[in-house]
Amino acid sequence: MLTSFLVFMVLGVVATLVRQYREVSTHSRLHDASLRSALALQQVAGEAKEAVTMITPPPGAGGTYSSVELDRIDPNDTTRFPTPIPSPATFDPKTPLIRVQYTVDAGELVRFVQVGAGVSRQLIAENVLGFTAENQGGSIHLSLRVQEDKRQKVYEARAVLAK
Amino acid sequence: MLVVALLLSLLFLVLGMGFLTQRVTQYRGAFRAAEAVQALACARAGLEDVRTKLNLDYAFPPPAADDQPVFSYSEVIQDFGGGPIVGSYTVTIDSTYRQAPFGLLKITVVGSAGDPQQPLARRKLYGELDVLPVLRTDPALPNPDFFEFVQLVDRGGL
Repeated sequence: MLTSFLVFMVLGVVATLVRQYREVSTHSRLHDASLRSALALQQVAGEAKEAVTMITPPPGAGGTYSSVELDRIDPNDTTRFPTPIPSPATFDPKTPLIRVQYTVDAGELVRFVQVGAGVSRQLIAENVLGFTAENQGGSIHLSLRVQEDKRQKVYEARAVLAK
Repeated sequence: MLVVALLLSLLFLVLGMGFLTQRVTQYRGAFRAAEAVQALACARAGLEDVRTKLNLDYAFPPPAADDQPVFSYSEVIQDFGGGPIVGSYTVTIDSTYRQAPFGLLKITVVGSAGDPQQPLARRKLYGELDVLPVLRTDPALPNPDFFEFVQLVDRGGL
């Protein structure tokens, strides 16, 4: 009788520990996802700094937008520097361009890249409740609202745009 | 009853080891993330360092033979007050396309966190610095992008 009581008591304690550990693990996982969202916002800000043309939000228009769209130099293009140098030599350092768009799709912040006719989709952040961008003339203010377990968190970033 | 107790002990032991392994993996991941950010900060420091050197010294990078357009240097970063080394960066400047019509310096910076001999994490940044003072299309006009990075790419961890 006593032995059975002890066994059940131990089982009860272990069950409680497992349940609490699971709660902590879930919270940690969601917190990690939330921090990844903060890093994602830094990625958007970093790419905004690289914009040759900021399409959305447009400069001087004011207001907030739910996406960021820009043209930037294709970082993977290997033909920018021709060898040998053609004659007559012409060169535009801001070509070739690719179009990049960040927008929220079904609770996910996604990055679309258009190179030529092809478009690729990349998941940037999850559990997204809202994403806003505001062009403040010379800089862009970004805000990302995410769900972290039972609370909501808002991350903000600012990027100074190229001249 | 003894067998049951032993089986339960074994079950709890396996369960506990599983939990501990999971925590160790999580903590290791957190440390890796912090080291990656530190390496990125070192790389950015290198980028600012090379821009400062180029800005202050007209003869930088020092001229070499015509077939040696690449110049490289490394520096370590110490904590405040000459403390321990917290990181380092290696800068590589490629002057192949320095002259018109390109007028660009291709700069690659690798930032390392921790001891340079045994880095904890490394991060590579690549930039193209516009060093043409006049417009490529009209040499009579000044270049608005002069001494700006026309492209700056994070090549990620190494």
